[in-house]
Amino acid sequence: MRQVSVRGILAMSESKKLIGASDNTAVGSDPKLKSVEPTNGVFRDFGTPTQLDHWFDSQLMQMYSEVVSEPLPKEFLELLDKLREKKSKSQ
Amino acid sequence: MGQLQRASDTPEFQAALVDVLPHLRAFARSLTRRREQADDLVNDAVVRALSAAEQFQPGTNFKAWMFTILRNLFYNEGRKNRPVVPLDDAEAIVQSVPATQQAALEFCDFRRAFWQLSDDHREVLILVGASGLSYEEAAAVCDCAVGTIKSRVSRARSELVQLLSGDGLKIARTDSAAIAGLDAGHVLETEALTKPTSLKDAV
Repeated sequence: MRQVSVRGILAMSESKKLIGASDNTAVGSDPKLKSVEPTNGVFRDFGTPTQLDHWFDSQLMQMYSEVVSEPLPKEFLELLDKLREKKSKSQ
Repeated sequence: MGQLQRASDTPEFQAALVDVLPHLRAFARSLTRRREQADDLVNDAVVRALSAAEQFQPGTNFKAWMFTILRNLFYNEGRKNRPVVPLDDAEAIVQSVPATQQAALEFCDFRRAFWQLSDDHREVLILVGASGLSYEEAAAVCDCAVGTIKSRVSRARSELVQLLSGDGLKIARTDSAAIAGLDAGHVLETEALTKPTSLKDAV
């Protein structure tokens, strides 16, 4: 089986506190989060904590979007049809 | 004299329900870790919402309201304690993408780390980081303080960094690969709900 090594994410073990942080920052953004050393695999430097935060956000969004964009099961589609039917009748 | 229209029959309510369904599935998947159980949970949440539509306050966030219903169903009706096999459809992706696609491999690693997070941490990342709820809305969904949500998000990110930078992920990959192998039918399944009748009856 092909081995896939951890890439790009670098160690940061300190406990983080976000309470009181600006909501304008990326979700969970922490100025102390930064890359310190490469793990095995391809080195990738995120540069700044903000870039790492953006990487987290993009991964989360991609994962979430995959499910959101999945075709709905048949039963849900039938439900939606019924709701649309009701909607058109009520208008 | 015309009959009063039920809240669940209003076009606005139904349109909102249609729009939020995919998001409910995504949130449910993060809670249950299983596609089948997640769709069951969404099914029940929709039924509950249709029967409790009068309780929704127009002008408030419908998605957050639906997430609250779904989450309450999950935590208050014993579903959380049902034995589950960790979802790891990342395994299927790992086998389907060329090794040279670093971004895809990074994504696989991220998913593996994500599924190793605690329930609380997965939940807040999905609510705030992916579904677009504000800290305040997420706090309402989780019935906790805004500060608690912020703290959980921060800890979840720190945990992700640790998982992705240490040996934990590699160990998990071995374990999850074995589990995925045993549960391959689930990983690839696209079957519909197991209890469709209740949903049909609700409309």
